[in-house]
Parts: sequence; structure tokens; C-alpha cells
Amino acid sequence: MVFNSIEFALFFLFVFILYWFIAGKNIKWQNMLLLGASLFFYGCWDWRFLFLLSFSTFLGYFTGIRIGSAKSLLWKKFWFRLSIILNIGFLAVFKYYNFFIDSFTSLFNSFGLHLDSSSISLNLILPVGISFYTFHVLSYVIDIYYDRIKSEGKLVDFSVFVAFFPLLVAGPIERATHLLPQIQKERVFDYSKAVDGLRQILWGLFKKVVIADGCAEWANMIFDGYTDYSGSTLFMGAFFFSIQIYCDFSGYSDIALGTSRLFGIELLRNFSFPYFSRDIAEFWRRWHISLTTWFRDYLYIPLGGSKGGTWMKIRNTFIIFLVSGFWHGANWTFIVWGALNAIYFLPLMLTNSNRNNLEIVAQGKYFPSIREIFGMLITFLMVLFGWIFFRANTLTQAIDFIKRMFSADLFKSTKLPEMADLTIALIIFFFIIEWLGRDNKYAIERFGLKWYVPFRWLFYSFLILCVVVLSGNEQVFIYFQF
Amino acid sequence: MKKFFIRIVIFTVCFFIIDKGFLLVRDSAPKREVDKRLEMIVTGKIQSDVLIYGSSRGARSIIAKVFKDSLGISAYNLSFPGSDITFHEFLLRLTLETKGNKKPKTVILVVDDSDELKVAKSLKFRLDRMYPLLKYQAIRKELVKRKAKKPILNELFVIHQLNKSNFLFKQKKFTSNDSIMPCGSMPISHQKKTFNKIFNKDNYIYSPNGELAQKIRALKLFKNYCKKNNIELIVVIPPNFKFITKGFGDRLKSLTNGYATVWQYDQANPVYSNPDYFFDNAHLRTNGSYVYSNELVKFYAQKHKL
Repeated sequence: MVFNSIEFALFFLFVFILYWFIAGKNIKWQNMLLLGASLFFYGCWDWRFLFLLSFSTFLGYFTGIRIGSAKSLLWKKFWFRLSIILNIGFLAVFKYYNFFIDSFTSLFNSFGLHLDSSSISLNLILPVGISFYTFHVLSYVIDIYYDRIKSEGKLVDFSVFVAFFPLLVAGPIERATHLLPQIQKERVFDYSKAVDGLRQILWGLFKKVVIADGCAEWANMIFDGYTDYSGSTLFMGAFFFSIQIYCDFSGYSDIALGTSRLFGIELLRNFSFPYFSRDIAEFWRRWHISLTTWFRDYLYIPLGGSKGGTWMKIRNTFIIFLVSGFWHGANWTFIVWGALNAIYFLPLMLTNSNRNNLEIVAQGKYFPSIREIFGMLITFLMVLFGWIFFRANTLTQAIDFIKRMFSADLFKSTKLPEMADLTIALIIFFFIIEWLGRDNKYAIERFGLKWYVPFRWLFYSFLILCVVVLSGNEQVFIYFQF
Repeated sequence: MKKFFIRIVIFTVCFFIIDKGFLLVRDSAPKREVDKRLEMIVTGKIQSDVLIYGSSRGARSIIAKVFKDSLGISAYNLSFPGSDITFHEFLLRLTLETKGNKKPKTVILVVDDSDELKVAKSLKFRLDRMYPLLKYQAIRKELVKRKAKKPILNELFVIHQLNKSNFLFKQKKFTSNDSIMPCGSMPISHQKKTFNKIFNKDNYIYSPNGELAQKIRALKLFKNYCKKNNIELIVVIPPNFKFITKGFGDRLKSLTNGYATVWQYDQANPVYSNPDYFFDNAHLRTNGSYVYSNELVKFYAQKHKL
């Protein structure tokens, strides 16, 4: 059951009515209902996944209580380490086991030892969202260990924290310090928040169905048959994928945040107009924020962050980007993508320029300066180059794609079908709205609020129209695979 | 809460009104098409005794009017470049189900040697040919059946029935590769620049490995429609710039349980190894199409003792 489906719309409507009309102001019933709906939502993917989710939830709940009530540091450490090992262990087995087996057998085979990986590979299905809910549980356990929060005694409340359906399969990666207090507190219907939630859902759907899926058609066509296209067309393929991945993932996050807001719960912001970044450090402050800050708080800072010497800074930067790449998937392409971003980031880090651009670009102005335009363009091109590794199936394919892209015909006109022009026109419209709304949490948060109501409704109708016309050719959300 | 729901209801009503305005976009789309053959089927204007279904090989290789010129039998070519057997099955079904269309006496199915039943990048169900004809219920129904559109949204909203291609308001024109004769055939008079003109002398043997279940099912359905309606089915393998894959014809015969007559051209005819008669390695050019069509008509006349 994906967000952009009729099934989800009906499911959501049903839960929404029950939540506000039946559960009313009773927090216990509200949480029970959210838990039941979340388990149903997750079970719709594959009911077998529920066992793993339940195990992960119980593990977090039980070890959380044990860590919180441990009478000696020794026991506290024991339960903490057990929880971390088991959580990461499950993630490793389901997501990375076969990758390691394949990589090791390839390594041995390159030394002339003929090993067959198929006999020791496991035939496992990767449970949807495992990386996301494992990180929820990990952050909870770590926060208890470091006395940032107290352990949650109510199993239902804790389960809602781990499995809340809007964020279950593709985030944002929530923190117990942020989400648990909201789950423990009574929620009351708020008209303006509900309208705001609907608006964010609409913008998310527009991003996903209209822009991301529209770009996917051309990106897939070009990446799948890249040997047949000129350098300029390959560049357009990388461009379309860059837009696709942003709109796909941030669109999902917008729908998640909007849905959650309709239930009176605020989730962490996940994107903040990353393609308007003037350098790569700013890009990483604006892209997949919940994951970046997770790694910052639970990996980078414990490793020493940027406080040590130069080598320590370099080491920590590489570790965080490589782990981030590896988190995305068990493939060398993701690791190279992570390493490439570390290389982009290091010069800024070493020259202390990584916090130069903290505010949104051209704040309070309609147009950016030449310098800002140049910065945004260079950053976008660097990011686009990295996405080639992210999108390619293998490293060889990525390198071949890049070689062909930087050929003599890079600056010749592209051979794209006529329909691609419509996608480009919609991308331009999308970026104009994003630019105008870049001061807000999402682009249309305040867009048109001062207009005469019929005009505003016409604008919303136009967005819905695009979504409905273009639905029916859905692509799976890219981040579901992570 | 009350205010929230009232606003949603008012907005929904307004949206429904706006939506109905898009009937104009939907209903004006067929006028911009130059290839009217699919619209002819859906509006019941097919009146020929012999109908030809296939992909570009069917469209280029068989000139339907040769049947009329030689035997006085009306024939029409309903082959669409880039289409696969699932699309041919749909076209035949639509032809037979639509009121007004004359039930053909003979159906000629032109198959691609030897990708017809396997994964073929260049062959697909041509959804794009259907989008301009969304004003017709039968087309909309098929799109829902093929999961290209969602049933509830399709019933509720005109805009969901539409495709983004409906918003390209340019009048379409014939190209040098896609001109259509009044008999529905699409021969090409020139040669492709990249045609290497080297006849492939390898003898390939057909293997059913890699055949797709949905394509086999479509072929069987195609045969069943013919059988049920007492229509003669002739399966033909048109020339590529190579020998016919051995065993492919037998495979087709066995899949149609012997109902279809599988006809192969005379491979000894030097025309079929002469590059001057080919557009590229997979298609004849106009002069070759006439040679091939005459041979097919001769076979047809012999079979029917005409």
C-alpha cells in the first residue's frame, strides 16, 4: 500500500474518521488505533515482515527498560551492547549478508581460489523500511544509555514510536526525544494544522506523481539503454534522475509529514530545498536531514567530530559518508557515491568553510546574486555526477556511463521524445514554486494564502489535476529499497 | 472539525465541475491523429474480408491492396509498428466485438522471426496508440484492464482518463517511415542509412527457452477468436535479411494446435537475399514488399483454388 494509491486514500480516510470521531480525546484509544493501523499498513506489504518489526519493537522496549533500570554500569553496558548488536545484527543479515558473501567470494576468486557464493548465499527478502525502524530503535536505546530520555514503560506507546505508519517504510528517521513526548500527550483536532497537512500532502503527491515519476520515465529509458545515446542525452538522463530522486524522496516525506500532522503529530523535517544549496556542506544540511543528523549525533560526534586533528577530521568525514552510502544499499555503487561526497566535502571542512551558508539562499530577495547562482550550479552538477553512481547497477556501468557522457557530443542537441518537453516544462514550474516558497517548511506552505479563495483553489485544482492525469504509471518509491 | 469537512466537500464539488471541462480535451484528441486505423476499428468501420495483424514487419512487408488487385478480395492492414502479440490480440478482439465491423473471412497474423513470443525491446503493447482515443469506452475499458488506469478514478474523473500526451495539441503529420496507404499498409521506399547490406547466412534453430507466458496466452487467444468465429487463420513469417529460424514455424503450429496455416516464403527466391529489396535487416522496402505480397496472394489463391 503506497501513499499515492486509492487503497491508501481509503485506508487513511477510515483511520482518520475513527481517530477523531471514535477515539476522540482518549489518548489510550488514539494510540491503540494508530498502532493497529500501522501494523495493518505494514502487513499489507507482506505479513511476514510483521514478525521482524515486532521483534525489533520488543527488543527495543525490553532492553530500553533494562538499561533504564540497571543498578550497575556493568549491566547497563551489557543491555546496551546486546541491544545494539542484535539490532545491527538483524540489519546486517537481512540487508548485507549476501553482499559480503558475494564480495568475499569475488575477492578470493581474483586470487585464483574458485569459490561459489550461491551455496552460502541466503534467499532473503529485504523487509521494507528495515533500515528506518532499526534506526528508530537504535536512537531510542542510545538516548536512554546516555540519560537523554527515560525508558518508555507503555508498550503501545513505544510501538507507535517505532511503527507509526506515515514514517514506517521510508522515514523521516525519528528521535525518541522528539516523537515519544507527542505520542504520550493528548492530541486535539486543529483546523489550521489539518489544512496545512492536506496542503503538504498535495505538494508531496505533486512531487512524486508528476515530477518524480515523469522524470523516471526518461531516466529509466536513458540509463537502461545508455549505450545507444549521445553524451548530451546521457547528461539529461543524469539530470532527470537527479530531479527524480529528490522529488521521489522529498515527496514521500511531505506526504508522511502531512499525514502525520492530520493526526496531530509533527514529524522531523527531512528536506529543505537542497538543490538551492551553494556548496556541498549546505547540500548535506538540507538533504535527508533526519539521516544526516542521526549520523552526526550517533556516529560523527562520538567519533570525535571535527574537534581532533586534521587526520581525525578526514577519518571521521570518510567514515560518516561511507557508512551513509552503505546504509543506502549493499552495493559498491553506494559506497563510491558516499566516498565521492566525502571528497567533495573535505576541502570545505579543512578550510573551515563548511558552515558558510547557513541561511537559505537570497533570503528576502526574489533573485540570487551571480555568485550564488554559480555556487548553486556547481553544487548541483557535483551532486548530479554523484547520482550516476547511485543510479547505476554496477560500478562498471557507472564508469562506462560517465565515459560516454563526457564524449565529443556532450554539447550537441539531445534526442529525447517530444513528451520529455512536457516533463521539462513541469520541472521548471516546480522549481519556480520551490524558489518562491524556499523560506518555508515546504514550498506551498504559504503560497497563495493571501489570494482570493477561488484563485487559491484553482491553483490547488491544477496540482490535483496534474496528479490525477499522471497517476496510473507509478514507479515504486526509490527509498523503499533502503 | 465541521468547518474542515464542509470546506473539503465544497472544494470537491468545485473540482468535479472543473474536471468535466476536460471532456473537450479528451474528445478533441482523435482529430489530431493521422493514423485512423485504430479509430476505424473502434467505430466499426472495418469492412474487409482479409485482415492483416502484425508489427512493423506486417505493416511494411504486406501491401493489402495486392489482394484486391489480383483476386478482387478486399483486404486491410491493421499492423502497427512496435506492437507485440498482446496488442494484436487486443485489436482482433476489438474488431470482432465492435458493432459495425464486418467479420473477416481470413486473418493473417504476421509474426516476428524469432522474437514474437520472447522479450523484445522494440515490441510492446502500444498504449500510446490508445491514448488519443480515450473518448471511446472500449479503449478506456482496456486501459483499466491493463492497469494503465485505475478503475475508480477512471469512473469519477475525466482527467484521470487522460494521458499527458493529450495535452500536446499539435496536429500530427505523416513521416517518411510512417505514411499509410488507403489499404492500411505502410511500405517504405528508401533504405536505412545504417543498413549494412550483409546477408546473414547463419542457420538458427528456434528454442522455446525465454518464451513469455503472456505472449503464448495472447497467441492462443488470438487463435481461439478465429476458431470461435470460424475465421481462417494464416500465420506468416516475413523476410528478414537472413534465413528463417528453423523450427519457429513448427512451434507456432503446435501452439495453435494445428488450427493455423503457417506459411513461409520461398527462401530460394534471390530477391530475399538482394539488399536492394530491403529497408534494413528486418524490413523489406516497397519493391520487396510487392514481391512478397504477390507471393502471399499466390499462395492464398492456390489454397482457396481461386
